[in-house]
Amino acid sequence: MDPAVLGLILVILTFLGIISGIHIGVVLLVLSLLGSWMATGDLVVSASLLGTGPFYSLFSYEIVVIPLFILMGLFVVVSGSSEDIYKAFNLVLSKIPGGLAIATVASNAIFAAITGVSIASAAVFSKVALPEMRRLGYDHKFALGTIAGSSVLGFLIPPSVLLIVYGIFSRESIGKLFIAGIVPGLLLTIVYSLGIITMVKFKPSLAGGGSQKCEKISVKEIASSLFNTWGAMALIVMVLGGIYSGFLTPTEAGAMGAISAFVLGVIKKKINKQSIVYALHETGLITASFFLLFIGAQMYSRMLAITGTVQLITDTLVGLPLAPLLILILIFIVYIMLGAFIDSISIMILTLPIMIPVVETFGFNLIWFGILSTITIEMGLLTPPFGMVIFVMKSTIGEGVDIEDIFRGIIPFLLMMIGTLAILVAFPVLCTWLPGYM
Amino acid sequence: MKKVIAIVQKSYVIMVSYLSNFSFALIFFIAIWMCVDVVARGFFNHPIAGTPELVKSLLPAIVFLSFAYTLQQKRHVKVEIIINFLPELAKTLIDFLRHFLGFLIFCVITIASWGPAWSGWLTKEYEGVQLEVPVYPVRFIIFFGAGIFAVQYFIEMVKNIRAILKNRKVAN
Repeated sequence: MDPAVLGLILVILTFLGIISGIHIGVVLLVLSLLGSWMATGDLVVSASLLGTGPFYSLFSYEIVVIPLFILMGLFVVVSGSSEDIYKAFNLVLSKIPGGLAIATVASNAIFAAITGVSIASAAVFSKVALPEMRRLGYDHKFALGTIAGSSVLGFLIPPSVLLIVYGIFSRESIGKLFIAGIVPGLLLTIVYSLGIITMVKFKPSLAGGGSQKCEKISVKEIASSLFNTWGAMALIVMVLGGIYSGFLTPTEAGAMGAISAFVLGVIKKKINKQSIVYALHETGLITASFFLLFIGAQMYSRMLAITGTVQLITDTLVGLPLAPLLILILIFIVYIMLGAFIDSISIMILTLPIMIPVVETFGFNLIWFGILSTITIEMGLLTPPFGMVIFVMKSTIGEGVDIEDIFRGIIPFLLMMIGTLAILVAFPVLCTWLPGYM
Repeated sequence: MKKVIAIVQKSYVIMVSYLSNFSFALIFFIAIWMCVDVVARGFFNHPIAGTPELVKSLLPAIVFLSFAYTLQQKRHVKVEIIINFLPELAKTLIDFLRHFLGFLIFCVITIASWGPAWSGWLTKEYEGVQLEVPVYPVRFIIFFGAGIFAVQYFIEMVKNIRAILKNRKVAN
């Protein structure tokens, strides 16, 4: 069969399979069998690829990093570190207009540096920050938007599960990607904070009209609350410092981080038998669901190579009379559209086998592209109708919050994300500068 | 006969649950093992030989032994945006299709992974230089885990068929 026709059929079947609610990993596995059968004409050979494929997909030291960072994130959640970070920032920033909202953003940035999963940040801060903002009379939509918008920092600021996935598929160093995420993550934090200050200046009612100014806070209180974050800070220094100095591989950093977060929870008397079981159970389930997708994607990308589909798509895009920047924007539009239906890790796993050869052909820096695509895919987590972060927030908060309110509250933060993306596109050095020193 | 089926069903559920618990515990074990390795390397200049080989051998076991349980818990990734708008019978039909395709593909994987596992056993396939870690058990675990996953998909399929028949009876 003509590779162009075969490629088109496969792309359509993939889309149909996914939106019809079949497990995404199964769709990819079935189509990889079907595609290589149609390309080679030999069903036995195609099936035998499935016999060895899972083994070669999983038998790798580097990808063990994924369950370890998930475990670390869950131990951090149950250790109660997020509350300590939030309390500290809340006290430090209480005098600034919209201080509580900025404290939410800043705490999310720090929390992101020890977890790496946006969904975890959204769930945790819905519980921690929302009641406090409600107490001080913050605008409901503004408060929800702040929590949802800042939760995306979890996938950008290292360690990030999404960057690990990108590293595996692009064969870029995960350590370098982690370090590359620091400046864009801080930039987004600053943009959010400045945006909040501006919004509150123009409309003070967003932040309760300054009711928080009534409370007096002593220096001793601030110092004590900052001291309480020692555990979280030590984790960040150990994980990121270990990777940056070359003392730890990302996999080792994940293991050290997981056990240290566990020890931290034990010291703080926050971890008991129930929370250990919860953390391990969740880690196991997330790991299994992730790796079904991962095996499927590995087989699918092999099949795309066998059928010549990747080459065909690359050639078509290169042949288009468009500037490379427009191709980049096209890719981002595809990501945002996919983000409205599919979760972020699935988007990355599904598209990278096709996108990476295209990006390489256009000569884009793969680390830069990784950071940009992570931000773009993260936008999908916030956009209707799928917007996973929004649904996690809804299920955490329960009654008393409308999905529409969260979506409306998020709009200013989405605009700030687009602004940050534009800065990073214009100045790639912001992504490539730090990894250049490794 | 019904009693035998009930015992088999109960034993199967317990087995799937134990296998997944074992695989979850393995993740914690890997984390501890690697920490000990880092400390041994950093402070005593004596890393534990064979750590990378051991760690990467355990990952396929963790994944394949928990696939079936993750399906029982309905946690494998799928897009539900369209299904949510469909009537109950159409939803059940799609559930059936999902499980049928899963059953089909994991039957293929189970059958196809037997050959590499058996030849790995015959050749005593191993990995590593400092410490030789046998690889064939990993291949057998993939074969076994894929088989259990196919069985779980089959069980879900049967549940869907029952639901469809019940739905038709109610409609009639």
